[in-house]
Amino acid sequence: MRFKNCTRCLAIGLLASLFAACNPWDEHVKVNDSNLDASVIDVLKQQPDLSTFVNVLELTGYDSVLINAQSYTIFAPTNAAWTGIDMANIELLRGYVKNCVAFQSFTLVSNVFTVSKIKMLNGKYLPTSGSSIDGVAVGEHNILAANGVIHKTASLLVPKMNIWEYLNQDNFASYSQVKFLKERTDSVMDMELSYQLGLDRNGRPYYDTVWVQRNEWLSKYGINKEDSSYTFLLLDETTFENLKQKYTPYFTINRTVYDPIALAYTSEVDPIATNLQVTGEITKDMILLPVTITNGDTAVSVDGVKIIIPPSSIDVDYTASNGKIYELGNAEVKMYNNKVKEIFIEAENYVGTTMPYTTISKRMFSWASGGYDIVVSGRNVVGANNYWAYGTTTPTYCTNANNAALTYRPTLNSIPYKVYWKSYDNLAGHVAANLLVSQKLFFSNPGAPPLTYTSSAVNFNFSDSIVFIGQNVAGNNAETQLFMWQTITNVAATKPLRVASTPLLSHPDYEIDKLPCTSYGTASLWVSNSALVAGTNGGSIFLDYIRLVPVIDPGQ
Amino acid sequence: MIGQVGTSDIKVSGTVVSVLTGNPLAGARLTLEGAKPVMTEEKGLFTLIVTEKKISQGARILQVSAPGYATRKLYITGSKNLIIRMYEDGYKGVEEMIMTPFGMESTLNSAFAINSASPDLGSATATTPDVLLQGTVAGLNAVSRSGQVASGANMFLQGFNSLIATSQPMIVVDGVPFDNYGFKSLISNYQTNPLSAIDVKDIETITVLKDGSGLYGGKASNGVILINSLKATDAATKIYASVNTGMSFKPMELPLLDATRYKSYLSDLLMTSGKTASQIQELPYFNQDKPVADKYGRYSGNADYYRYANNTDWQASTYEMAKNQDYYINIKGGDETALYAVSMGYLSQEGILSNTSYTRFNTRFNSDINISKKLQAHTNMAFSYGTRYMQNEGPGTTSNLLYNSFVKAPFTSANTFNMEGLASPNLESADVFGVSNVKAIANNMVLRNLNYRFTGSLGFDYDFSRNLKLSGLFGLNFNKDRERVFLPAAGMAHDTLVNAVVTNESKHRVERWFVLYTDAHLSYTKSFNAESKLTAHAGMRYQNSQTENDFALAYNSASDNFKSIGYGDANLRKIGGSLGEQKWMSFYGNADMVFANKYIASVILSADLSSRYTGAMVFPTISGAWLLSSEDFMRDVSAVTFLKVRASLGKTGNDDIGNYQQKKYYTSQGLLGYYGLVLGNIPNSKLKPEVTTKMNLGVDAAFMDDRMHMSLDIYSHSIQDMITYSTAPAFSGFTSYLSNGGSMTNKGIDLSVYGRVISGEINWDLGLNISKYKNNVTRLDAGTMETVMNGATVQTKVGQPIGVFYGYKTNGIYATQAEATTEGLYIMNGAIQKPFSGGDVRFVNQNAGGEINAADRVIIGDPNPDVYGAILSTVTFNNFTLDMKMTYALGGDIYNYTRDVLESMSGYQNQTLSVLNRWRADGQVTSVPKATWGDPMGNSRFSDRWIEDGSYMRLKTMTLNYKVPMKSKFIESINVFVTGENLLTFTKYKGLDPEFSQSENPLYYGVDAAICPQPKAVFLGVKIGL
Repeated sequence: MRFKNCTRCLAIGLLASLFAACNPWDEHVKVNDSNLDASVIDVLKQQPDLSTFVNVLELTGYDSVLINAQSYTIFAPTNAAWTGIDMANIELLRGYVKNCVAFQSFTLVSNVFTVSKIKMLNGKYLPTSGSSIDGVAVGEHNILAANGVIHKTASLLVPKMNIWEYLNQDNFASYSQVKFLKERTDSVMDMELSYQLGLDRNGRPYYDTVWVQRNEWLSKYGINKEDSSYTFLLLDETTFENLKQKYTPYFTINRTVYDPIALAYTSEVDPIATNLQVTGEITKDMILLPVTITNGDTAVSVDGVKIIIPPSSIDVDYTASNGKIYELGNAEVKMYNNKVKEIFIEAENYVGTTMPYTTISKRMFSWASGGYDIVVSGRNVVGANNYWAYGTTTPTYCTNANNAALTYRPTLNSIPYKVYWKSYDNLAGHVAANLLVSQKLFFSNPGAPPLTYTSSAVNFNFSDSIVFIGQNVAGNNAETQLFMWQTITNVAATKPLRVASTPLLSHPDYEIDKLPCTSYGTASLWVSNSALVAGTNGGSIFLDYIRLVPVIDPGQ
Repeated sequence: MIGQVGTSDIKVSGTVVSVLTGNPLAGARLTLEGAKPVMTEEKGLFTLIVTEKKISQGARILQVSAPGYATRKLYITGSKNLIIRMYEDGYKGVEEMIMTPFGMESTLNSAFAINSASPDLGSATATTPDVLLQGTVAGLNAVSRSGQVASGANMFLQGFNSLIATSQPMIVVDGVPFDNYGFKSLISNYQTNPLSAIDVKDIETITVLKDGSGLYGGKASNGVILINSLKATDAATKIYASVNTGMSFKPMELPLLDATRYKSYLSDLLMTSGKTASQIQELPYFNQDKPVADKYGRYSGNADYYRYANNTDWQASTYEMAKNQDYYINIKGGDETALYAVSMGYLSQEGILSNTSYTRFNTRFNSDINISKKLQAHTNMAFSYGTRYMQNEGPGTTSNLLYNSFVKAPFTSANTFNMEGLASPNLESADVFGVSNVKAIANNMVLRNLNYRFTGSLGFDYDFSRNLKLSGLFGLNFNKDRERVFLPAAGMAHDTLVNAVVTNESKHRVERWFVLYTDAHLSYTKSFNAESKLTAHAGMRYQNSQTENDFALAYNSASDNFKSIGYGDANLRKIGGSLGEQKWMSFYGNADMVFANKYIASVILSADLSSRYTGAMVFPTISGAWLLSSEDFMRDVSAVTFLKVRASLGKTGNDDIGNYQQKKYYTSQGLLGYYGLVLGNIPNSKLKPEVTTKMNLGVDAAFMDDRMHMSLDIYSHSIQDMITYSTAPAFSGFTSYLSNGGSMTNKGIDLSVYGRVISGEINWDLGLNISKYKNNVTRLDAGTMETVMNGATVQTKVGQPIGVFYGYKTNGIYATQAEATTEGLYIMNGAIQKPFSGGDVRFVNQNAGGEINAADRVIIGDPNPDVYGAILSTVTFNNFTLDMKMTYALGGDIYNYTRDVLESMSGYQNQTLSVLNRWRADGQVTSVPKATWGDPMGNSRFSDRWIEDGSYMRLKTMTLNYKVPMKSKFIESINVFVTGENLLTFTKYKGLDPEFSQSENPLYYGVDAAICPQPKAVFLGVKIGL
């Protein structure tokens, strides 16, 4: 009897201790709230005021997405928000769902969002402000689930178009800006995706080509990208035409044609290229950084062009997902000192030279524009200091044979420019000798062949005997205006090109103080040394900067 | 009073009865000094008559023995009619015969706290004796190092007696000191265990000298454990064989995040790293873009989709069910001239960690030879050869199996996938987070240790006369450890070298010990009368130990098939090594005096000389005991069978101060490819051993005719000249040097109670060991010491125990940003205040000002247990015996490093399920802080969040033995047994196992870092005696 009792006690004791020996982790890892180990979809289902949303998720198939191993933020519209929405239109519903679900958990701290915008599943960024997202106030929030967090909203977050989507609506199809941007789309071969099938008989590869659409304008101005942000001014056709008229004189592009009767090449206006250029310029000027504008404002384009929005010219403004669109009935762009500006070229930014680089010195001076000026030695005597020394003996100048030149390629508008430069010869010997520094500027129009150099002469297309010359006495640190000079041509072996002893006083075709640019585009400029008198030697080039001032009516 | 002046003889009569049956016992033999031995008759009655004429005072010992029963000794103080109850063989009574340094003695007349640890060695399934000792002796805190096979235990006897010198007791095997310190292994967290060379079944006796160890002078301050191996006692040939086989089971896995939960957690965490939502979505492990082939077979989409679309339970490939087998035989016998005992054992164990095992072959030959009547010789020889395959343990490295299995991202996979999602047999390389492939560690990494040990000794005893004996012993101890490590390139991440990127690593190491030992002593014994006796010994011993350690590291062999160091890149190869030698000489002597079987006095003196220090060290001990039960006034207190009080006071030393620390030495150092010698230390010519003064008060008592007995010890150790690191002056180029700069006290109490609870048809014996210690640092010249152990800061300071956890106190977390702002606490980042915010841990600010810094640290835990010990239970019924040993340690704190890593929420490491509760939104009330990349606010710093109650109670072993009834004359006995190990553990500790010991250094006590848990195991075995 005693024994039986004892075994029973022992058995019970052992059994009890087995249960007592439960895993010490159980309590530690128990979730405080079962939601913390449930997917967002399960947590949504527990909320009676979100039943419609759950229904929408099921209709659109997103219920099977929201159980994934991710972290989601869900802006769940309550049932009332869905009133009037066509539940049969799955595509529409999907659009709503994509616009109210984001990857990663974004919570509110003290009722305020801690991030300024949230990227939704459709790629659109919704801005936050306080406890609102995209203007919709968040109600009950920070409802946690294992894979995300839920915030309730009383109304739907309606997905917005981005600027490009807006412009692609049918009613804008005929707008010049829209047409222009659309036409910039090319099909190009995607080299990565295209599959090389083999080599043809000439050894060239041929492909199963994959074509992709590319629009360089959209690549540059990402008005179709959700992660960029712009303000776009859409002009009606009248305004656009007006601006076009205004722009055209400054953006006229010439072409060279062969006249079969005269048997010569002549230059004439290319209307198609000009039109394209002008349309592009206007379109570009209507793309702004993301700003809000009102009637009467002056807006600034991404390229820094000021656009005047006259009173009551804003017809429509639309907040797109990546910025704003203003449809304008009127807009003005000043040309003077706005669209067409002075061109300032630092000497040190030369793009080419005829000289060996050892003869070019970039000097640092506090007085120099940009901190530097440039000196090109006229001599070719090899040895220390010889390039720069001024002596009584006549050195051998390399430029006896060649014009030393620095090349610049500015983009000019199709209007005349006054030319200034600073050429400051501060070499002590030159200063002491009161040396006259006389430098030439050769010019070739945009669209015409750029300046070239042969063993005998400079080929320049501009009235081939005229150059611009700026003169300054050594030691004078001052800007000089350039004027037209006549070259003395047809003298054998006159290299460097010599010029007449005085500038032209007038010219039948040109104004002697203006660079007569006739076409919009990249001009070709050479700054060259000069010998004033036949037989004398070419000198060094000194240059700090060149300033091209468009000759334009300030009223324009 | 036995003698009565001038009157008649003394008559002692009575009845001998069996406790089992309650019936009188016929044929029991009774002996009493001065009386003729008698046997009990039919009814168990006996009468002894002392006819001595001499007058004496005190008690005499009556010895009663009967076949099948445990021999009993009673102190008789006069004529008496006794009822003597006899317990069956194996009953643990108050008297034990124990092995002392000078032979077997009875515990009854010892004046010291000496315990026999005599577990049932035959059916022990323990691989090493240290594990077996666990719980068997009150005050011995033997803590298993790890659950890896044969890793053994660290033994702390009566608390800690040293800070940085060894805390391990000295071990003497068959009279020869055994090295008991591990060397620095190539395998992390592995300590060589010299005791693993001893087969538990070869052990005849184990004695634990808690005090009275002064004979061993300068090596004895942590106590001494004497182990004696098997010995033949008579000429009859006896054969004992045992076979057991068992299984170890996989431990419980930690509750970690699965791939789905981990991804959700990780994406939250990465949001705090400065990455945008889009950047996170584009990471290959979040990108859900499945690879799709075009008609030309080219894939687009996320090429790594299938690599990260898994849900791998890495812990599952870490553990294995393990098979164990153990075969053993010994033969004893001989003739009148010589007795011998031979044994052989083979053990093969698998570990629960993948690819771990231990195989040991051991053999032993012991003999006793009677050369002449006066001269006896004895030899002991043992050889063991063990092969061990292991895994790295401890804090996180790229090759640590357990650690990597915890932290590795569950969405990764062990094998590579192709773009169609088909798995290949090829192993994945280390993952994108730099975590090795756990399967590569588990299967292809080699961590092997080979151990050979030979011990041999030759001893003799020469009897000059009945009273005087000369004994000599010459012993040799040779040990060699060969280690080979190979970390393959495939699947493993490697640490980089200064000048190379590592592909694979090969490491070899050889450690050799060679110890010569001689001991000679004279023994003098003199009995003055039946009740009084003097025993004295005087001797000298000499020990020379030499160590050699050579290692070579090689890197980047051409392929994982070339695993030897010879194949490594010659430019990256590194070799090194060291030699060590120690000489120890000691003159010692003792005298034990028993007067009237009432009063006992002992004196021990030893004088040590050592190559480690200059000058001689003298260690005296005195002790005394009073047998109250031998006094007349106790004669009629029948409930008290035996009562002894003892007191001892003695000095011992700890000479583990390094072989050469007293001298100046040089080490090699490389700089830019050139090598030279540089000073290796600041010599401290005054360095000397630590001296421990031990005071012990004890009571041994037995009650109710030995049905219950107990032993109580109260001790106080005072450690002077404790070795500490002292701060060296900056101009010396060293940060510290060794000095005798500390003192400590170590006080405690050990209680053991043992008794028979139920007697009769069913017997139930119950024992309880309970111990408590408290150490207290009383002097630290170098000031407060802070040591960082695997991320835990332990503090050692005057006025408190050594190595307490020193960190930050926390008080929940900030549920809202507003709460954090109101409190206004911050940390400094350079000169910038960084305020705590919602979801951060609320650290307790201990001082003025709002900054949380090192000054806010306090003691947050004490790793020392309040009490520890064991409960032992034996139930016998017919031929069945059920033995249970429950060990426990209560009240100790543990720093759970593993949980710190798995809940710090600051990196790519996988986390426990508790992070589901992490703070994620303002106002969320939880106890788990928010996940923050890199933990800038230090939420996971060393704080009370990681300190856990390490109290546990564990059913360490449970054995059910069935003794098969035998009638054959050939077979003496057959026992069949089933043993379970670690079947039950009661603990709240959330680590892998509350029982672990990372190091024998007490500063590591309670610091747990991914150490293999003790497996549950079941063994089935047979023991046969012929």
